[in-house]
Amino acid sequence: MNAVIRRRHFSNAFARVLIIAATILVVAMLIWICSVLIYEGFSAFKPTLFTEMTPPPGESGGLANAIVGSFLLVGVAMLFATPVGILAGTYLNEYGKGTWLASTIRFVNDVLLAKPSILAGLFIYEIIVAPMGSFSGWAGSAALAVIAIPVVVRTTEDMLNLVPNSMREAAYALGASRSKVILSVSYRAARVGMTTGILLSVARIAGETAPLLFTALNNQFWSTDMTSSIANLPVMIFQYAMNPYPDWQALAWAGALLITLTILALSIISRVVLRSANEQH
Amino acid sequence: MEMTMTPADLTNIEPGKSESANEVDISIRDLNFYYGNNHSLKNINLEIGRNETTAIIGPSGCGKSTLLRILNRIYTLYPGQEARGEVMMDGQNILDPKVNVSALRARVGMVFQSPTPFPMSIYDNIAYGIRLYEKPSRREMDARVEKALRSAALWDEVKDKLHQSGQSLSGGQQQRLCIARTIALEPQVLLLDEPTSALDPVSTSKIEDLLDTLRDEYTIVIVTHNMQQAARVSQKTVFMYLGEVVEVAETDEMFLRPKEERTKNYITGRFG
Repeated sequence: MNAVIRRRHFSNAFARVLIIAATILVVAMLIWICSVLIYEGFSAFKPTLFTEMTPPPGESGGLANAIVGSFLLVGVAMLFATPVGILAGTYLNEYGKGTWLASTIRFVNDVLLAKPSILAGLFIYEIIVAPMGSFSGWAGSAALAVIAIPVVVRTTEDMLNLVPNSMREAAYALGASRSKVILSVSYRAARVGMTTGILLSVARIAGETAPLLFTALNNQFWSTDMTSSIANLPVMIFQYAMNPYPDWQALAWAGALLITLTILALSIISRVVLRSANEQH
Repeated sequence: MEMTMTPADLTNIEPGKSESANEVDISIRDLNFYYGNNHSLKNINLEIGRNETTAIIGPSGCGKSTLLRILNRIYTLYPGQEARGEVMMDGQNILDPKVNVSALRARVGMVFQSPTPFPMSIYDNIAYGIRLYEKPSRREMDARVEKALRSAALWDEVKDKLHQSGQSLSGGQQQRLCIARTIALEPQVLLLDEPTSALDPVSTSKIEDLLDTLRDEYTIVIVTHNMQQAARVSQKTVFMYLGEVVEVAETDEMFLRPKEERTKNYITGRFG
C-alpha cells in the first residue's frame, strides 16, 4: 500500500470513530433523559391525576386543572394560528410567488421561526397583559399562536410548493378560476402535509413554558375563564419542580411525562396519516 | 415590435390553405409573442382546419408549445407574457381581453406533456370539469362520465374501479384519463402538448389510435417532438423554427417533398 492510500484509510477510520462517538453521545443523552422521565413520571402516575386539582403543599392532588387549562390554551391558539398560517402560506406560494412582498414575508417568517420563545411571551405581555392589567388565558393563547403561526406558514408553503404546477395548469385549462384551483386542487393535493404541519405546531407549543410565564401565568384552582390567569402543564411543571416538597416534584414529573406522551402521540398520528394517505395514491 | 409582413411570410401560408378542403376553425394572423423582452413568436400566420389533426413540429425552443398555449390563453397565468395579433375562432378574436377565459377553455381543451390526474377518484376527475359549468343530476353525471371514458377508450379498464384514485392508474391510463376529462366538456378544439413523450410505446400507440377516432368530432392540434408520430396522426403539419412558421403542408407532402431547405434539414435529422 502506498502512503496516500494509507493516509486515506487512517483519516477514514478516524472520522468514523468521531461520528460513531458523537452519535452514541447524543443517543445516550436522549435515552438517559427519557428513562429518568419514564421512571419518575410513572412512579407518580395515578388515575387521580385527571380528576383532582393541583394541591397545596403537603396534600395529595392531581393535575386536572392544569390539563384542562393546557388544552384550552393550545386549542384557542390553534383556532387562531391555523387559518392565519394557512392563508399566509397560501399567499406566499399561490399568489405572491416571486414578488418582493412574498420574499420579505418569507424572510421575516423564517426569523420568527427561529426566535427564542420567551420573546413571544414578552411581546404579548407588552401588548395585551400590561394594557389589560392582568394575566389571562387569552394572552397565553395569543403568545402560543405567535409561536405556532410561523410553523404553519412554513409547512403550508412548502407543501403547496410540492404540488406540481402542471396539475394547476391542467385545472386552469379546464376553465377553473384561481380560487377553485387552490381550494379543490392545490389544497387537496397538499392536504396531508398541511395537516402534518398543524399537528407538528401543536406539538411545538404544547410544551412551551416561557411564553406562558408572562401571559397565562398559573392558577391553583379549577378555571376555564380565559380572561384571568389559568393553570397549564408547562408552568405547573416549572413551579412544582423548583419546590422542595417531594409531592409537588412527583406531580411535576407526572406532568412532564404527560406532555411528552401527548407529543409522541401527535407525531405518531401525523406519521400514520401521512403514510396511509401516501398509500392511497 | 411593429407587425410587418414580408412577401415570404405570405407565400409560406399558401400551401396549407390551398390544399386543405376542410373548413377553417382557427385562423391566426400576424401573431407575435413576447416573454418579457424576448420576442419568441414572430408574425405567425396559420389556419387550422376543422375536424382534422394539425401537428406542429420543430426543434426545442422553436415556439411550438408557446403557440399552443396561446390558443387557450393559458399563458396569461404568468405575468410578463404577451401575445399581439389575431387568433380568430368563430368570428371572435380570442386574444381580446374581453373574452371570458373560462368559456374559451371549455371550448378549447388541453392535454399536457406529463399526465396530470387530480388527487381524487377517477370518477371525480372527469366530473370536476363538468361541475365547473353545470350541476347535472347524479344519473346524468354518471352517463356523462361513462361517455367521456368510453370516448377516451378507457371505460373497459376502469369501469369497476371508478372510485379509486386517478393517481393509481398507469401513466398511459392517466393520460387517457386526462383526455377523457378534457373531452367531457365537449370542446371544439383539443390541444395536446407532447402528450406521449412521458409514455411507453404501447401506451403511445393507444393514444395515437384514440386521436384518430377523436378527429371526427374535434379539431386537434398536437405538438410533438416525434416526427413519426406527426406523420402517423396528422393530416396537416406545421414546421416551426426559431419562432417562425417555416412551412405548412399536407402531412404526406411535407414529409415526402418538403419545399423549404430548413424543413428538409430538420426532417432528415440534420438538426434539432
